[in-house]
Amino acid sequence: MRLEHIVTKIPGLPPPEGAHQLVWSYLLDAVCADAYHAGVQLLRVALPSSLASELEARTVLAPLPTTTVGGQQKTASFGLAASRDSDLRSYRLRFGLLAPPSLRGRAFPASSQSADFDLSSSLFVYTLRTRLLGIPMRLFNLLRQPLVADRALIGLRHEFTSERPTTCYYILEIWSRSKS
Amino acid sequence: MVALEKLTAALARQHAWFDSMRQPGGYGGPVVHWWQHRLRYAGPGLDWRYEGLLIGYRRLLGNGNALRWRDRLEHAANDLRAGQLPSGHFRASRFEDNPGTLGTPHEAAASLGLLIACEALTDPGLVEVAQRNLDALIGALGDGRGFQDVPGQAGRVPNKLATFAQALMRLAVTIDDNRYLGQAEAALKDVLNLQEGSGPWQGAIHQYAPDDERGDGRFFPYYNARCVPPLIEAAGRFDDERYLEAARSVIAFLKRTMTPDGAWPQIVYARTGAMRWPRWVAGAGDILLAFLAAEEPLPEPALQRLLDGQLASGGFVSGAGFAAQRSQRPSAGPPDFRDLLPVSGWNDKTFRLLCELLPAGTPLPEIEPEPVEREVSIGGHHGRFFETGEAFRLEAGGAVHYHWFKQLPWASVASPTVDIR
Repeated sequence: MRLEHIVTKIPGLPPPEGAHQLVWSYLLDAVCADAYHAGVQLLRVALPSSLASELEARTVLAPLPTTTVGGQQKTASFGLAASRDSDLRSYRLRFGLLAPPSLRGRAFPASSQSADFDLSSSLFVYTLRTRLLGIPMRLFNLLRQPLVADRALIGLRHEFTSERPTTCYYILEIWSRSKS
Repeated sequence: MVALEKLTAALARQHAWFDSMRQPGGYGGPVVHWWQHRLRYAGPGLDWRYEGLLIGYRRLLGNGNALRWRDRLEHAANDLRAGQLPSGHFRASRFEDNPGTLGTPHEAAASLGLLIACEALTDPGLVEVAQRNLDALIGALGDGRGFQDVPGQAGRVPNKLATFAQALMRLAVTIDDNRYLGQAEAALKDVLNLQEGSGPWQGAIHQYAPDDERGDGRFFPYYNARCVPPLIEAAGRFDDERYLEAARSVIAFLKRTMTPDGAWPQIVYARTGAMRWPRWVAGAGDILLAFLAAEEPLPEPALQRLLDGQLASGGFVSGAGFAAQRSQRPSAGPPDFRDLLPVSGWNDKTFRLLCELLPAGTPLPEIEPEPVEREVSIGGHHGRFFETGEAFRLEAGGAVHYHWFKQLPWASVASPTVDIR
């Protein structure tokens, strides 16, 4: 799968560190795995440069799937990259209630998809439950009680994502081109 | 001690399983770990799985059918060469955090395996691959006093430093360059500093130190064991008894913390309590390897428990008690799916141990792996785990929760119930 990374700034977007590093591992894995299995040959991504190496690592190792259609390249878009007619998929990043005000409620791409696309799945990432479990984890680390802190960490990871709508920081929507 | 017939059958079956885990770019498969899991990405991992694989196949070269073993050895060595980035680091070298790069101790472990494999391989370019990688690690992690775990952060992780030191010692000998011995000593200094010298946890080595002085009070028996072979090698290399004493003290700690059925808790805490679950099965190969390196008898219940963990496919299960990781209260019923998943980067530990135990010159039989179908628990629901030569699949409640074709880098299904990190 070929990657076209259009380096783009998203003001207010946290760097992929700490919890946000885990966030991006979920988001990029979901996008790259879906694109791979959909037979996408060119993935166009408009995201900040801090994600370049993570994107490259997920696309370079994946051999090109054998499926091809009539010489036309199968493409997909993610982030600020606008959808094209050739896109099989559009990956849309939205920000939920836990995001800072500058991002809350925004979406990339901003417009909802045309009638040519159906929403096939959503992933809610970095949930409120995770944020709440982070409090005892940090507290007990400060109190030098690593056993309790470790158990909070495990709980935090279990609650990190949800397929069902929930209060969260990031939402990934996967839109598939309609079959009709 | 394990009967020879059982040993050869287990090893032959596991070798066949590893063959089924190869895909373009290297050995793949999902990862389960205490820190986090990685099920959706199941592509090649140029991480510590290459340590056990390369050292194991190097050992097998003297055991008949040398062409077969040499072929596997060359393929594995070339995986690392092909996956080396211009920076010297390896692609997908973070194991439970793959496909990230600059994995510790993974890159050093893979380079250690490569250097040992080079004893039997004639291609000098492979030594350069290991040297470039270790130079890159020195550059990225060195802070003038020792080596960090993450570039720019002062923290130390002793077991990783031990693996790094062992790789540096091997490189120094291989290319006859003593500069690397000084680097190895710098890494080992922090391992010794972070070992408890007295008290109830005498001999145990802290998992982490936010600086190079004070440990975090967490002792992982598994990671302690990984310090033993490097310490013993250092004792000989530097003719310094302190390293041998440190290794013996770790072994004493491992003996004290072993459960009657031959397992080890995940973590014991200096102040209070323990994280008893999950307990390793395939990874326990590294703990037994520590006993072997220290010329101690292998604890019979631990060896038996390990051998009992082999699936019909030839892979060894990862552990026991993953479902209790959060509550620390194991429940009756089938094992958690993560317990049963065979993982390349845990199986290499068992593979290396079994290769060490195999008497020189013993040929292995040809064994066809068989499909696996086992009852498991998936998110608290009863389900089934299937493994064939071509795929892993998990089903529960009429739904497929996980499906990975072994030739592909991404699982085609990884439901949020199983895709927990």
